[in-house]
Amino acid sequence: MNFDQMLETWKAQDEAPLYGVNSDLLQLVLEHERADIRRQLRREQWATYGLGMGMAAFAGFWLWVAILRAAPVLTTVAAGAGTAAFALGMAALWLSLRRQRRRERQFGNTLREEIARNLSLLDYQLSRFGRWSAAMLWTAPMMVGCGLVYWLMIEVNHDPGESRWDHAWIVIVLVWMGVFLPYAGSRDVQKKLEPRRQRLAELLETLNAGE
Amino acid sequence: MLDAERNQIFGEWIEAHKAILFKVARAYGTTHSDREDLFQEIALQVWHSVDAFRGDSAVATWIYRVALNTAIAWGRKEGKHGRGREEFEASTALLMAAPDRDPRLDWIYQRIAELDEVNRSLALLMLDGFSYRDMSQILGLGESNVGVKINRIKAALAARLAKEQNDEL
Repeated sequence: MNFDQMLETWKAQDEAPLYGVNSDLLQLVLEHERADIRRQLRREQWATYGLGMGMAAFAGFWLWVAILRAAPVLTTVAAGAGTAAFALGMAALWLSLRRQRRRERQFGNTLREEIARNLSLLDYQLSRFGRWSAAMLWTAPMMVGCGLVYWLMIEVNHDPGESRWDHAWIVIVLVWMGVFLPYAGSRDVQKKLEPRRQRLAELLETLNAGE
Repeated sequence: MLDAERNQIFGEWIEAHKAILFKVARAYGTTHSDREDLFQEIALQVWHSVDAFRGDSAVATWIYRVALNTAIAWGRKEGKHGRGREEFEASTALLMAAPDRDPRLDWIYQRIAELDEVNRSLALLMLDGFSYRDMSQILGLGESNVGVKINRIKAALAARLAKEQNDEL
C-alpha cells in the first residue's frame, strides 16, 4: 500500500462506515443524561442555597426574638453575627461560583481552550477545597454561625442547675466539623484532582511546544 | 432551544456525520468496549453542543472539534469510563461492527494509535483532508506548528509504508 492508496482506503470508510449505531439505545442514553443533569442541578441548588438560607433564617429568628424581648446586647449581637455569618457564607459562595462560570465562558472551544477551561475549573476546585486553610475558610462562616446559634439557644434556655460542661460535646463536634473535615476533605480533593491537573497542564504544554 | 428541536438537529448531525464519531472512537479507544463508551460520550457531547453551534464553521468541523476534545478529555478521566451504561443491559451493543472490513484500515488505525494524543488528532484531520487552517482552528495551534507536526506524521507514515513494502518483497 502506498500513501495514495492509504488515503483511498481511509476515505472508503465514509461510504461503508465501520459500525452501525443502535439508535434506540443512543436515545435512551440521551434521555438518561438529560434527566441526570436536571437532577444534579436541582440537588446542588437545594443542598447549597437551601441549607445556607435556612440556617440564616433560623439565626434571623433568634435575632428577632432577641430584639423583641430586649435581650442583653451581647445576645442580640451574637444573633446578628450568626445571621450575618450564614448570609455571608451563601453570598461568598454565590459570587465565587458566578465568577468561575464567567471565567469559564471566556474560553473558546478549540482543543487548547477546552483544556484551559478544564484546567481553570480544576484550579478553582483546588483553590476552594484542595488546601486545608482554604477549605477551613470556606467552612468557617457556617461553623461560626452554627456555634453562635447554639450558644444563643443555651443562653435563652439556660437552666441554672446545668453545667456549661454538659455542652462541651457540641464544641468538640463543631471543632471536628470545622477543622478535621476540611483537613480530610482537602487531602482527598488534592489526591483526586492534582494528578488530573498535572496531566492537563502537561497536555497544554505539549500543545504549546513549538508555537 | 426546545428539547425536540435539539433532538432533531442532533439526529440529522449524527446521520450525516456518524463516520467522524466512529473514526475518533476507533482511534482513541483501545478495546471495543472502550470505543462504545467513547462513542457514547462523544454523542452526548455533540448533543450538548447543539445549542452552542452558531454556524461559524461547517458542521463537520464543529463535530470533529467536539469529538476530539471529548476523546482527549475521556482518555484522561480514570474510572469514569462507562458512565451511564450500567443501567442498560450488558448485552446491548451501541455499536454494531460492519462484517466486511478492509484489513488495511486496521493497519492505518494501528499506526494512528502509536501517536500521542495531539498527533493522533492531527493524523485524523489530515487523512480527512482538512486544511492547516481548519486544523489550527480546531486544535487551537498555530498554522506553522500544525505544518511541522503534519510533516513529521507524514514522514513517519511514509517510512512505515516503505518498510511494509520492503518486507513484502
